[in-house]
Amino acid sequence: MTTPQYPANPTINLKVGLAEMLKGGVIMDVVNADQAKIAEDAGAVAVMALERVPSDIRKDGGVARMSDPKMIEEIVAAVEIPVMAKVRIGHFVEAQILEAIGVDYIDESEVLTPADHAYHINKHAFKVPFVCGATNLGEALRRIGEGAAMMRTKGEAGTGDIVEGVRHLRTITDQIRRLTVLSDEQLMTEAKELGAPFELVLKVAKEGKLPVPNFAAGGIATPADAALMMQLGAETVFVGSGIFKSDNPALFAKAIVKAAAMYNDPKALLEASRGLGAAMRGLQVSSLTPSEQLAPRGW
Amino acid sequence: MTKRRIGILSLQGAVEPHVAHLEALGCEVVRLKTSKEILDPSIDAMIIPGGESSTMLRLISVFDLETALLQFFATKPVWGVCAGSILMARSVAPLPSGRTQKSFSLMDYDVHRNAYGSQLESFEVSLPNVERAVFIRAPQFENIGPAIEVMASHEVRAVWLVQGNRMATSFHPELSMKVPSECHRYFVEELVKN
Repeated sequence: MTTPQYPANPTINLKVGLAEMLKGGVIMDVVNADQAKIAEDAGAVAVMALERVPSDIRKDGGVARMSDPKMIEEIVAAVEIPVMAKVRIGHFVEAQILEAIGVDYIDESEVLTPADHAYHINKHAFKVPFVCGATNLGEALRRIGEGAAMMRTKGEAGTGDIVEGVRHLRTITDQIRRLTVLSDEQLMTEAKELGAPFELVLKVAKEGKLPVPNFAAGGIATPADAALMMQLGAETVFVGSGIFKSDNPALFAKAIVKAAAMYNDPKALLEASRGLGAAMRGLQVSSLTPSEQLAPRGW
Repeated sequence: MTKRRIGILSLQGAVEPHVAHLEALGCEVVRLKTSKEILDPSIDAMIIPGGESSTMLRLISVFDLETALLQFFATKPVWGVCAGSILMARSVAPLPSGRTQKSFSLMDYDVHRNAYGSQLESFEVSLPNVERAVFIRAPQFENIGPAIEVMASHEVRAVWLVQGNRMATSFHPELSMKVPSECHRYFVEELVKN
């Protein structure tokens, strides 16, 4: 029998614990209570409540902020599954407001316009857990160091183009694999190169995985996209614009839930993919100018 | 003695955290997703893990697993954790959103989903016979029938129930740092027969 090693701050268990419960599922962006119910009925494990899905934020331009609490509260009242909501990078007051509403998870998200050009939120200061995006291992470990209890790839939100999500997930996976084969004396320099906390680098080198669940987001538009990210090692997928910007949201939602559950079974994926109608139209990431890209936001 | 084979219903949720506990008890872990896997005669018992009960119900229906599950439950031991315990209840209390949710009526209790509230109400606590019990958006058991043995309670609430070869916990022993947890040990040693 092993001797238990309890962390100094027990709330991290509860925060990571909820992320564990969401594994093998689909978290769907919704903009009102009706969409939230469609998502729950389709089998979503959680919903992300926001005023505009990322593709509309892209189209509309302007400053994207936390959503109106009234709309988030309506969604909280409409469903039993956990409700997440987004705050701007560094905007800890928006986070205080979402915590006061009683949302189940906060996404400190590059999809909204950043509020701080240098610092992210100190997520240890909150009881509500946070998810953050990352494009590489150093960024993921910095966010975990700040208290994030769940990581997701950034991908390129609102495009329906999976290419950046794949790049970020492969990068993180490759960097983790590299840590596991380095010798002990190499790890401090590696921590310096990654810009990551040394203690977390040691932990990842030993365990061969992130210390918190590793989910995928950004550009997932079809059941095949969801299964691709899961076969590449993501433990759950976020689908933003991909569901409610498709021809038939209820059908797409159900099909992506099926694909996430049976991501390793080509026959089930075939069933899930057949006859869905058009996916969201999408936008090639390679056609975006650097200032139109969301993934570089965050530090 | 052959290794006991414990199946975990692996449609969605916290499957992997059970593995260390079960292996520490000398069991082999089998992940179950299809009717064929569920009906494999070499599986000795099943855990329905924590996760989202509405998602699991949806997937049970989509993949047409109900017949196989009921056939399994008719003879073999089963343990529902949190969401799993919601699926095992006699009935699920009407949801605040006004909707209803089905359950498989495997034990004599009703259940109230998310009874403590949102994630802000999640908590960890020590109980007399459970070193550390982790409650995450937990359900509460109600109208507990006389055939049920209450194994542990928190304040006035029963949180660990046993009835015949069936067991339910509203908390998450798989997230305990005591490996194997008290609940895994009881399930394997007392309810899973050789």
